Amino acid sequence: MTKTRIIALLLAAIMCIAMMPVSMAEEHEPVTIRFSWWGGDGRHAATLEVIEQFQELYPWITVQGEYGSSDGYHDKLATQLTSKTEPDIMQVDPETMPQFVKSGDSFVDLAAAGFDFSNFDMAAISASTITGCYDGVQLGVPTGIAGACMLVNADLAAEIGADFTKPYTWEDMITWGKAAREKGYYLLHANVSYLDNMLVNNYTKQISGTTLFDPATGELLATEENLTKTYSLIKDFFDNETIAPIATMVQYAGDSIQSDPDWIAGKYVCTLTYISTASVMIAANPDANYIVGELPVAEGALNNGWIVGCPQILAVSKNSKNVDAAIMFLNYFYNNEKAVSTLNTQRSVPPTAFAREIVSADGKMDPILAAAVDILNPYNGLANDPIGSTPRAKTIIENEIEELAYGLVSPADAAAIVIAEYQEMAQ
Amino acid sequence: MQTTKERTGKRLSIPRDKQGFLYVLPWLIGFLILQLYPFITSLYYSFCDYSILSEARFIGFDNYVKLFTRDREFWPAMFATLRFTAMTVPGKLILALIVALLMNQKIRGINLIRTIYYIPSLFGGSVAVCALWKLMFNDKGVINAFLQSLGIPTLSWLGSPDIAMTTICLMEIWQFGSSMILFLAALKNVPQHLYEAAEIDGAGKIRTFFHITIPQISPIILFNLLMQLIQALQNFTSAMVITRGGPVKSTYVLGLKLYMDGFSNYKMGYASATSWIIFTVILFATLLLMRSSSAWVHYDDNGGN
Repeated sequence: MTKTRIIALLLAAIMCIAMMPVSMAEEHEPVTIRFSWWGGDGRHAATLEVIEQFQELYPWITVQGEYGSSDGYHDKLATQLTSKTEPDIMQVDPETMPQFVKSGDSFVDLAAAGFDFSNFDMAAISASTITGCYDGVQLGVPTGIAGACMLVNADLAAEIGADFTKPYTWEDMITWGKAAREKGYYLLHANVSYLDNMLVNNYTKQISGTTLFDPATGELLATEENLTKTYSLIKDFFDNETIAPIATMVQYAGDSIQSDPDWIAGKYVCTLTYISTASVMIAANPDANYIVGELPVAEGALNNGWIVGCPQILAVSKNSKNVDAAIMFLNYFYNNEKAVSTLNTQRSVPPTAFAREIVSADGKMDPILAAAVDILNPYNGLANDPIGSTPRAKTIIENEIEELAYGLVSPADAAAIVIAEYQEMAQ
Repeated sequence: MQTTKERTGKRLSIPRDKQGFLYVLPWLIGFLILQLYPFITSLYYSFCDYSILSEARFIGFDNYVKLFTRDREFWPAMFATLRFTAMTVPGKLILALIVALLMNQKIRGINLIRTIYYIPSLFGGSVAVCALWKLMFNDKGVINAFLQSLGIPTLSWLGSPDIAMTTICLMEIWQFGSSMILFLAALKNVPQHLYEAAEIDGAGKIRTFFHITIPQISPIILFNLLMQLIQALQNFTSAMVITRGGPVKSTYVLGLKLYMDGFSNYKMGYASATSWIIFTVILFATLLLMRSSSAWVHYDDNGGN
């Protein structure tokens, strides 16, 4: 009798223990976390699907997506960070992040918070602030491999006799541009901000061998002489109609470049874009036959300029009341096979070998993006410096591109104005 | 059993002369938190080096000195703002008055016509209208397509620094509905006997308009002028959405500069200084206008004197 009782008690205890996970699951307090990102329709749809998958797996966690285009995204985020109303998880531009980190203690140490970095090449991502590592602390997780991509309309390139598959210079582009105009095309599709980020940024590194400012000391390294050369090149691009007139391109400023009707109609031979944006450009004119070209390098370059970076990083707010839930979501986002497959290349080529294998096996690896990464990998230019990457520094360069293109200043005047403003910034 | 009088007396225990505060309390709280507090703090921040996410550091008049003496964008932005104001305020008022005169006629379906003319003002300052305007005035937009179909040369409405400001001013002028409604109400209040007397005296339509209509509606002209002036000096949305201040800063108004300094360059102290300069300009313009009003605004009660 006693034995039976003991067995009965043991069985009851085992049943209770077996029931524990269920009852614990039921005891979870409902949690809501906010996740903000920018992107196009494809990225929004894939991210929302991953959120749904995650919520099915963890029904007590609700993830609210806050998404839109990149226009004004960081302006809003800066305001939210100031007022401590930022989302729990934020997609941040790697070049904007240093200003947020410098100005405050806003982001969680992801390794300490329990994010699983086992699929990441830590040596690679902990090497730079661009991949989210600040003073040895990983404050962000890269969403992909990114950088510049020379997206070429192969048929038009063949028609004008331009070979983008071999090394070429910026001056070669001017020659090809003349051939393109004879056929009624423009060679390069670029607005002022793309001219800044792609041409000024890289050409200046190529001819000077330095960044605009010293990354460590903040000292101004750019010289009036080198910037005059850079602005002269831009003037040559406009004068020779290598790019469309400025009066046209100002109407497709910033991230609206793909809405240019001439791009949609296939009247440009190529565009210098980002790997993460290439699919948006392709979607605007999907019938063209695209290839990825090499990137232009100045003759006798001291540095080839172009770098492999990452398109965005995801960070978790230190003000979040639900850091654990945010980390659980990030672990699902980066390390779950289904999530990785759903997200595929919506944020460029995935950042981990694990994810790349899954996306390739699914046949979802966009061959254009894969080719762009392969082409970019051998380039080993200088990473952008934090001061030269600030919105203010970019605005100064872009103001002078516009004034130059409208014929209001000469290349030497533009360079002198930039140097004067940069000297003030350096102080 | 309590009588109605007793119950009412119990409920209204707050002295009658204080009850008004209770009614305006929601507004008062909103005013103190959302208007007065930011107003005062922005004045303080305008004397500070204050970047987003860092502590404000008092620097005296440095922000103002830099704005007036070293900022290459400030004076062009000031002139762009004044140009925008000089084009939109008279344009809007004249158009509103002309349409109000037409709407004051006794014709069939006038109420429907009034509603249709008021609709653009319902979208006032909306981003969607600005986006629509951007598409319409694009080089390959519907306006140029229309001009082309008539054989008229097309214009680069948004790409030419000389024309872009006019384009965004046109949008502002198009939203004349609220001024029009006020003019219409004023026109309806002009005593008919004045027109009858003028007719008997042999005055023509133009003479009647300038010597009876305009003086009679002058208080509403002053009101509309003030409101539109304040609105124009604070313009932001159209410059931001349609042209982003370009090309070559031709539409870079002070409201946009304030936004860019504060939210793109994260210099909140500097942006606060700009906002106080805008406030001072508005204050000065308003005082000037109010002072001039005694010379040209006609009040039936002689201005309360």
